[in-house]
Amino acid sequence: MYQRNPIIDQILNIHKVQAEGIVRSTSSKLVKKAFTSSWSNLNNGSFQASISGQTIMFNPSDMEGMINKWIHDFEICLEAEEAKFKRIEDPTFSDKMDIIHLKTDIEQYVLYEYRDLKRKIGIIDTKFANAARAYRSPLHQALNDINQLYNDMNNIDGDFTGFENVSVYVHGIEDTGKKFFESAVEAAEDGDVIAYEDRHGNIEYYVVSVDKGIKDVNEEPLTFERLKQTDQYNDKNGRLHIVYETEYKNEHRQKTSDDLTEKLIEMGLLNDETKIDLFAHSYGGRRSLQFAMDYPDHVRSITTIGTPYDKNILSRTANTFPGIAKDFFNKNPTEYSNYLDFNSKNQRTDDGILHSNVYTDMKSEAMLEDIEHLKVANPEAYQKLEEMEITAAAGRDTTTYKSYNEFKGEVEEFVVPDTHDGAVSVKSQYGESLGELIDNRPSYDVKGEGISNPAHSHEITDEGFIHLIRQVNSDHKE
Amino acid sequence: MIKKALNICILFICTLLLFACEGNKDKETSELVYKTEFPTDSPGLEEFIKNYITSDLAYHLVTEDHINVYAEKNLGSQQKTIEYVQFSDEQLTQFYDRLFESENTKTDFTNLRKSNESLFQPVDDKEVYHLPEITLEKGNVFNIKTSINEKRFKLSDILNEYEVHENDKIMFNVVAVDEDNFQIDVQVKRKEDSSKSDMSIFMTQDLQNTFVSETYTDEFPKNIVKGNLKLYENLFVKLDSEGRYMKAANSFGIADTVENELKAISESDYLSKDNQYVYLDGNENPLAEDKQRIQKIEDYLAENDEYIVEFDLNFKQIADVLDLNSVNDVSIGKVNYFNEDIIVLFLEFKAAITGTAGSTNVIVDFQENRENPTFYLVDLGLH
Repeated sequence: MYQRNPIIDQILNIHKVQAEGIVRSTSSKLVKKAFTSSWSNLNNGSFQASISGQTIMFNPSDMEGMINKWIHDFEICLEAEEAKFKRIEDPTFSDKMDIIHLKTDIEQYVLYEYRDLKRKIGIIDTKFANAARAYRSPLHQALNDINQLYNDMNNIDGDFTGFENVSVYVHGIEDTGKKFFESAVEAAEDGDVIAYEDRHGNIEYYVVSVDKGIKDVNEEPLTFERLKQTDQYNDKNGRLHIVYETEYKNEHRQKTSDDLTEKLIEMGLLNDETKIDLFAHSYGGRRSLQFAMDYPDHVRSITTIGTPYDKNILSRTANTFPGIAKDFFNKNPTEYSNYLDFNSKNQRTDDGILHSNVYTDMKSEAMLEDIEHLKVANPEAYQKLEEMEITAAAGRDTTTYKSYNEFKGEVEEFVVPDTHDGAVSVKSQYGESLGELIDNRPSYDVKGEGISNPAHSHEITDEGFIHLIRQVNSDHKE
Repeated sequence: MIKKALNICILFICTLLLFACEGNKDKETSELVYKTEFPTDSPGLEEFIKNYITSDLAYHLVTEDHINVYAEKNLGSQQKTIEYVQFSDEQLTQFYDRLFESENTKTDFTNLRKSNESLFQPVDDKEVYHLPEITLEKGNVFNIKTSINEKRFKLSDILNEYEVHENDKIMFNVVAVDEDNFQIDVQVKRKEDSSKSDMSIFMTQDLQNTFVSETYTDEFPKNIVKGNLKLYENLFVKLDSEGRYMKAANSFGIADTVENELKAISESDYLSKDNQYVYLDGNENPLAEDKQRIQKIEDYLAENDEYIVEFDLNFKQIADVLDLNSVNDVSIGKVNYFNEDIIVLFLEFKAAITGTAGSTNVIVDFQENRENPTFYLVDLGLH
């Protein structure tokens, strides 16, 4: 009867002691389960490792390194046994069968199991990463709150403390802040400062001076050291415009809110004196509303255009067919940013990684859902939202119809506004589902038509919307 | 559920078809030359980089024997003196030499500006370049010292027409200098009502003659025609060979000394850095596609149809060269820099439905072939 070469069990015993040590040090039930099942499959006796620690210490690369070493041990062993076999001048049938069995046991049994163990560790790693992702945002929010409290209690100012009127511009899906920068420059007035931070963390500063109706904005951006020399910065009488670019272009609104909060605390702008007016395009409106829900004391107004407050069918389609969305429309529904929503509907899995982004959000949740939750969970915050001035502007495509006028004997053109901007319906842009929470619902006929050149793409730089920005800034200046 | 899925599929297919149809609008254009690398060094490129490095930091005053002399730009009223700085052409080329070997042009180009202060050295001998030493003392009094004279000027006296008081905020800069005269630009912010005024003070080097004028209003041509600025005319930029059109340094107002009126470049057009050319509709954003036209300033002001350069701008070709999945149109298209030899543009391309497909700077280089320039498509981080 065939019996496994005892050298295999000798090595497995050594490895088992090391494996038990690993399991004890991690204190993880998932890790113990993986090792126990592997040793059971290896038929190498019972696996003894009790886990009692309170803290899970999981280092997948260390574990992988150890398993690779074990694999190496068996490879060396096999090499040595094969070399020994070759030195036998006239091997018997039994010698030949022994080496074949050894080779089969190591390569197809032990090493297979070890490789499978590495795969199980990888899966546990993904599970831990997904869990960590889910709790990252609450931790980020808690850290922000602690920072703010610490700064308040110790009277710690930031470089921009003293600006009482602050406009923050938040772009939408698949976009950068550059168009909003152009509009902010257009809307800015004498004495204002403009800060533009790109998603790589580079910050540019501009100052605005107006004399006899002529606006002067520096051509090349100033460094912070140069900005500190300007009267606009030192007087702090004007408005500070912050053009904020999200770290990931398709990040979920909660991540934007957390990051923006961190930025504003760092700048010294989350305080009782500073009032923030938010301007947003497309999904940026959801990001802004999220920030306002998180920090209603600091937001004075929200002005959006092209924002899908309801679920959006194009996002749902892109989320369902990410390959087509990428190849044909240059969209990236699988981009993830280490943020995971607790709502399982607002998640997707790519390569085992659970994540949430703009696409999962617009596919699964209307803003009304979170507003309703807020109303129940924090009525005081909801009341502040009611008091906030929220303007949901709608951009509209127009369609030109031609008809022959028999009386005049000529072709006449009729321009009729559409019920959407090429990407979002007017109804959704108006946030009709949010009812009286929205105070104003203006509309603008914006240039553009069709899918390739929709009005949605032109809304930020539309003259009517820039006028609205200017108006809101002017109305709210204290 | 099946019906819902079917609806989504139908909508998606329709969208695809629509997109495909709209994407087929090919444009007929001539053969343009595109390169996706940073250009080799040239006088035009050097001039562009020099402007990029210096424009936020200093006013150019004079270049002599390959030494470029600047007055550091005061940005606020807390700065009470003027510092003069210089660098040689050789130091400049060494400073930006790294760009030609760069593997990350955008970062290295941006870093040039961030580290620009290291290029500038203090001017050793101010007298060689006739640089006045100016200090703003308490009570808004200028203490000015030249190689010929030293004198104190109460701004409330010499700017009395502009209602300047001792406690108003003053920001000042030296923007032009020659061996006979210099020009100080002053911005006054009145303490009383926060109102502002900008004006230029022209002085002779012996400090015996002073004249104050706005340079961007009708006051400027009137003062020239009246002869009030005769002494200081060498400080002005002459825009044509006959001397009909003149412009003060650091001003956009053009004095027409024949018509005795102020001319201005239209808001939609773009004046070159050397004040000699106008890019028609170059100040539009986004720029229109296809034919771009440039006129000499005298032709522009004469409102004739003479164009010194005409070239094509083709967004689809640029997007194709860069392999951008764009709808062949731009949401931002603007001029970053314009001079005789080089134009630098910023283009951000639209993606279908929403968002951006990517962006690039475009260096349009006319130095080899004015009729058919080379387009260098390279991201410099300018927007």
